[in-house]
Amino acid sequence: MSLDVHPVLDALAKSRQSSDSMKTSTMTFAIFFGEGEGADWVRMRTRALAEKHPSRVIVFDASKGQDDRVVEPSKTRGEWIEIGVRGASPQELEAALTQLALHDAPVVLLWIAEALSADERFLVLAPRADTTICSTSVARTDERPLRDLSMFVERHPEIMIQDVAYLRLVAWQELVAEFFDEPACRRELLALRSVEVTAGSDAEMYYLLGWLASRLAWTPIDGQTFRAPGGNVRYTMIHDGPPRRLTKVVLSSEHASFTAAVHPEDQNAICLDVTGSTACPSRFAPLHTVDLASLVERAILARTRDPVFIESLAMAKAIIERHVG
Amino acid sequence: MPEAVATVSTDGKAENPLRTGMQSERISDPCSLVFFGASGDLFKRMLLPAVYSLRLHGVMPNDFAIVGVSRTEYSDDDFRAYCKEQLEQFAPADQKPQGAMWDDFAKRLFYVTGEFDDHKCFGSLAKCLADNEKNLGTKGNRLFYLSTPPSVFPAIIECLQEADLNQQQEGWARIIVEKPFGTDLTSARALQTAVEKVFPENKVYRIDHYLGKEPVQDIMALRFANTIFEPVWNRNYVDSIQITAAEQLGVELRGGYYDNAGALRDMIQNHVMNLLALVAMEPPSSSDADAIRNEKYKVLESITPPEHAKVPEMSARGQYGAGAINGKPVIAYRQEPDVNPNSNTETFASVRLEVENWRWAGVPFYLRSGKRLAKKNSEIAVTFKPIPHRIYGERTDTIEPDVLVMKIQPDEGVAMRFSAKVPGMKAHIRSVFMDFNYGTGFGVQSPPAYERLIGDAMRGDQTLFTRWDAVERAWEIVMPVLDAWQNTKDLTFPNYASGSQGPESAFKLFPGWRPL
Repeated sequence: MSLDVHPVLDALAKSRQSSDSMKTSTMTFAIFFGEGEGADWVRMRTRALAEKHPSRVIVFDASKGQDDRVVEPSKTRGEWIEIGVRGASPQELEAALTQLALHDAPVVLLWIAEALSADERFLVLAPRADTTICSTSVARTDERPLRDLSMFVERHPEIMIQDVAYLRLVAWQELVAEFFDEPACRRELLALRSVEVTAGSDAEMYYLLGWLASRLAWTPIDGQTFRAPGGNVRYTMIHDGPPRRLTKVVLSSEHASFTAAVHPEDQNAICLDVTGSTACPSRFAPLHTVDLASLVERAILARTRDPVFIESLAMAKAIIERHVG
Repeated sequence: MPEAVATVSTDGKAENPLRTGMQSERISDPCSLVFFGASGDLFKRMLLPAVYSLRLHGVMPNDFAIVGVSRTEYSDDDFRAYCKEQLEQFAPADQKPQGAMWDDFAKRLFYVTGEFDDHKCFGSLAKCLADNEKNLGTKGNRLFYLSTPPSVFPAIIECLQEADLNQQQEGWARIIVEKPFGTDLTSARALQTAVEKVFPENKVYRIDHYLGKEPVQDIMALRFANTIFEPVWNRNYVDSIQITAAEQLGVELRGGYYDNAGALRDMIQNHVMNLLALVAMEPPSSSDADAIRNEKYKVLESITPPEHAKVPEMSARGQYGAGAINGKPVIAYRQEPDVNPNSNTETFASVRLEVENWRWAGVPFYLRSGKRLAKKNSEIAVTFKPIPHRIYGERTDTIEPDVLVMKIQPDEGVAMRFSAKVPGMKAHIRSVFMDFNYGTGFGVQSPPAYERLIGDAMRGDQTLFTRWDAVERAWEIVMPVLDAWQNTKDLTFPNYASGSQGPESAFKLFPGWRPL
C-alpha cells in the first residue's frame, strides 16, 4: 500500500493558479490524529489558529482510510489538507510530509495520539519538524503520556518539543508566583508544609508539582512527601473537574495559606485568597489564553526549549516514580 | 537542580524563586489609574473599554483601582452603573461586563466629583487614593490620565502638586497627557513648563494614539527586522517619500475645536511628523525607549523649518466645499456646526520638507493630510529612483519606478510595486503590485491603540510616547507655515470639493501624489 499525495498536489496547484489573491504563509502545520483521536474540537481550535497564522495545514488522520481526502485551498487564509492515513507506514507518512510541506517555511507538528516514544510514526515525523507539540492530557487522563514524554525528551534532547498540558499552567504559575512577590510572603515559601492540587487529568497536576519542586529544591521521598530545605512538604492530588483543567491550588505553611481556585460561577475567573499571618483581601484574576489554539500558538512562538519546562518535566517524572511506581 | 533554587533565603530579600526562568511577561505593578474627564466622550468610547479589555486579558495587575474625576455629579455606585452602561455599548461583543470579572472590576471603580481647579476635589482624590492603597493594595503607584480639554491641563497638574499627589515615598506617580500638547510653540512651551515643575520627563507620557496602532509599529519591524530594505533606504536609491493621512470624514461634532486647530495642528504636527521620524530614523542601538526616541529626535533636528518667504512654495492648504462622499451629498466646511461661516481654517494641509543628513540629503518628504477627501487612506509611500539604464521593454512601455507602500489604514499592510515581463513573445514590461495585508495575512485584529498605550504606561515603557524635545521640534518645524497661514486669509477657500483628491495647489506642490 502506498500513500499517494499527487492528487492533493494537483488540487493545490490548480487552486493556486485560479486564485487571484496572494497567499501568505507562516508555516507548514502538520497535525497527526491517532486511531480514534480525530476529535472535532481539536480540528476546530487548530482551524482558528491557522486563521491567525496563515499556514498550509496538513491533517494526517489515522482514524480514516486513504480515500478520505479533503483539500480546501482557499476557504481559509491558508490551505487545509486532510488525508486519511490508516495503515500508512511511518516512511510513507514522512514522504508525504516532505512532498506536501511548503519550501522555506518552518514545519510545526501537532501530535494528538496516545503514544509518543512507542509510536514509530512519531519517531519519524518529529525530527522532520522544527517544533513538535504534543498534549499529554488530550488522549488519556492518567500519568502514562507524561511518563512517555519524559522518556522521549531524555532520549532526544535535540528535538524541540512542547507540551500543551504544561503550557496550560502558565496562567497558574503566574498567579502562584504572585502570592510570593511580597517579601513578607516570600519567607513562607521556605516554610511551606503542604500542597494540594486539583485537576481533571494527571498531567497538569504532576506538572504543577514538578514546577514547584524544581523551583524550590524539593525532592520527592515517597508518594505523598517532598523533602524540602525547611522541612518536609506533604502533597495531595485531587482528581476533580473537567479533563485538562486545573481548578485549585492550595499552598500552606504553618502560619499562612495561599489558595488559587476557579470561581464557582465564572470559569474565566480565579479567586485568590491568602489567610493567616500574611492575610490580605481576596482578589480575582482572569483565566485567559488556556484554549488549545492559544496554547499551540504559544508553543509555536517559543522557538527555543524552555529550561523550566524541561526541569519541571524531569521532576514530574521523579514524582510519578515515587507516587505510582 | 536549577541554579536559581540556591537563591532562596530566609530573609525574604531574595528574588522570588518561582519567577526564575518564567517566560511570561511581567504585568504592571499594582496601581491606581485616575482618569480626569471621566464623564467625557474619550473615556467612555476608548479608555474605559481599553482598561476593561486589559483586565480581561490579564495585563492589568490584580491589585488595581480606577478613579474617575469629572464635573458631572456621580456617586461611586452611579459611576459603576455608568461604566457598565458604556461598556455594554462600546466594548467588543466578547468583552461585555458580566460574571465575576465584572463584579470585581466594578468594586474597584471610584468617582470624585469636582472642578479641575478645585483644591477640595483634589483633597477628596488624595483620600480616595489613600483608601485604595489600604484596602486594595495599590502600593502607592498612581497613573494620572488627562483626558480633559487641554485648557485645563495646567490647572490639574498644579492641583496634583499642591495635593502632593505627584510624588510618592513608596511607589511611582506617572502622568499621561492627551494630545494636542499645546496649540503652537509658545503654548506648548508654557504647558511643558507647567508639567516639568511637577513631573520629571521620565514620568510624563505624551500620548499620540497613532503611535499605538499596530501598523505604525510595523514600520520599525519592516525596517529593522529585515535586511533587504536597509541597503536601499537612502538618497542613493530613494527618489521621494510621501506620507498621507486622508480622511473621508468631515469635522463631525468637533467643529468648535477644529476651527481653532486646522489640519496642520491636528495631524501634521503630531501624527504625520511621527511617521516621518519613524521612516527616516537611523537604526536605534536597541529597542530601549530612549534609544528609539533619540533617533526620532535626530530626524526632526535635521529638518530645517521653512523660511517664511518660502512657505508658499513649500506648502499648500485647502478647505473643503460641498460635494459628495460615497455618492451622498455633504455640506461645506463653513456650513458645519460650530464653524465660523467665514472661517480661514485649513481642512487640508500639505508640506514639503527635507531631512538634511547624510542618509536623506536631497530626498523630498511630502506630507499631506485632509478631511472630506475621496477615500480614507493613511500610508507612507517610498518611491525609488528610476532604473539607470533601460535594456528591457518595448519602445512604448513606460517602466514605472518601484514603490514600497506601508499601509496604515484602512488596509494595514505592505505593498510593493515592481516591474515584470508580460508573458508572450514580446518583451513588454508592466508594473505589478505585490500586496500583503496584515488583516488577511494574520487573521487577527490588532489590539486597539489605547489598550497598548495604557498597558505600556502602567509598565513604565515610554517607547511609544513622544518626548518633549520631539514635540518642541515638531512645533518649531510647522510654526513658520502656521504663522503664514494665520496671517494671510486664503481667498480661494473653499478650494476643493468634498470627495475629491484635494486642492489643485497640492498637486502644484507635488504632481506625483499617489491617487487616494
